[in-house]
Amino acid sequence: MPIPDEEMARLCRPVFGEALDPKTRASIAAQLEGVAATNRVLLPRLTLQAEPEGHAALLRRVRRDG
Amino acid sequence: MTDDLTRLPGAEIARKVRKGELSAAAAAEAFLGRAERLGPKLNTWIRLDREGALRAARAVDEAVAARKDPGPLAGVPVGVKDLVDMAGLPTTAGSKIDRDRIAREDAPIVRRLRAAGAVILGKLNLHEYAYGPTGHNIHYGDMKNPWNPARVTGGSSGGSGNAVATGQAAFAIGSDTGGSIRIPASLCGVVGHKPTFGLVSKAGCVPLSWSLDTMGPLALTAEDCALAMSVLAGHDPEDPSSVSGEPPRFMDGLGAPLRGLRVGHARRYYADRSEPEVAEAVERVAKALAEAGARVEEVEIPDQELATGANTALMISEAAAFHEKNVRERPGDFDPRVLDRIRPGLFVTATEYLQARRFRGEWAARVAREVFGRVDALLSAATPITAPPIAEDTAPLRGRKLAVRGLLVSLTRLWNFFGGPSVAFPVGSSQEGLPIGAQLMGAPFSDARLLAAVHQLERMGAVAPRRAPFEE
Repeated sequence: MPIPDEEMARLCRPVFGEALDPKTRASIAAQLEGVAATNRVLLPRLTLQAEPEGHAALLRRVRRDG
Repeated sequence: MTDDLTRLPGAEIARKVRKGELSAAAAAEAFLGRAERLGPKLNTWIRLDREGALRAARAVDEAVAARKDPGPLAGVPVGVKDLVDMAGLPTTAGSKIDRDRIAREDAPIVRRLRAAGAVILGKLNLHEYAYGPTGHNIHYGDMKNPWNPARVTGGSSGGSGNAVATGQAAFAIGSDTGGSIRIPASLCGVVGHKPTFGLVSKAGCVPLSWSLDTMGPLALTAEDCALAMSVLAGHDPEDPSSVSGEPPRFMDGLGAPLRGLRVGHARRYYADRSEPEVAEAVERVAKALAEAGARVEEVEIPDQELATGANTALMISEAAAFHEKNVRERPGDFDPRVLDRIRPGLFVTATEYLQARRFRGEWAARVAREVFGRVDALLSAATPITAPPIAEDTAPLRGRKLAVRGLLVSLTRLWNFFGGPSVAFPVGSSQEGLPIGAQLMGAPFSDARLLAAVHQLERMGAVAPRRAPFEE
């Protein structure tokens, strides 16, 4: 569920010095909901071994082993 | 005669200069003249450096005269996207904010180009802070497509794309975070190579997203891209994400035949999501590959949507982190459309960002195993549409009107998330006469193999690089 507009205005004010206009707030909320939705789906699929540097490790492994 | 020089591929210029058949100064004058004539009409350059270019060209000619090795890029006129530092010149990154930020030293890739004898003509226009796939720029002018100046070049390396397509530079340096080399390559009808992540240094380059950014060449031919990569690739201790080890031998691999190459045709990845004439052009490439003896089979890419979502979390968070200070202090100095893209990243949570990074490693390992364990290269369209009008925010796709920005990155951004190489190349023209681009993707560090495959397709005539006819 997207962040309610009132909450979005409250979040924006200290960062941008203003609450921004409703259209901009709605656009930010929609994008954040997309990120949250992705997170909800991928979270249960992560293994215990998954770590933030996993991609760098993969590149090093491919580099070493071909 | 002078203008004829600008029709030569970079590799041919280097060969002639090294043999003493062509002076680097003459080549530089020819390309500079063309850049001064065409550049302002297409908004190609942010700054030309005539004096610096001619000085470098004379040094190459002196080396040839003294029988010293002038380098593999001897006298090749090159343009550099203006987010790469060149000592003594501003690195604007296409912004108003950094208009006067003078670089103290050359970026390592500029040092490599200079040491190889390249003649750097100047700094190329780009989408502000490389944060946009169209080539719009309110500060330095919208970059125009040389096949139809009312159309976009694609971005963010739009100046790089139109410079190469019109012979203003033999090749150009671009950056690619979600498609910023391959999209202008596709829309302008040239070859663009997004290298394996970490293969080319990005020290001294303004970042968009540290974990996705790559630097690479756009050129008229795959051979020119390989030649550029043979100079650009290599470990750089100044870049934290630079990979160690010997770089691939790009030029040696160019003769590799297509026979036996295992090609995955990612039909379900692009066909229904592309305009019919784009999909048909890519089908013709698949057929040409098969006729040349490549083993072509259909391949599925796992969890595309999830990976795309995770990619977004990474990119918007990192872009917001880089720009946060200016977003807070100088929001009015950004292009409002770029500012709109930066703002959401300030609210992505640290855990969402880290989960996306955790997912990336596992997903990329799965793609490496399930896709590139079966095939050497994967074929798809590079962009689902040809160049849309500069004035339009939406474009038709199979009867629906969709946002141009989303369409242009829809087939490229996944490969930044994966981290392997991708080469975009021209595969024909639309009914409107606009270029159509395909791309080959590969496992990490298979860059040379992809460029060799495109080179063979060029030799067969299945890929026909040609300069845009723009002259006025």
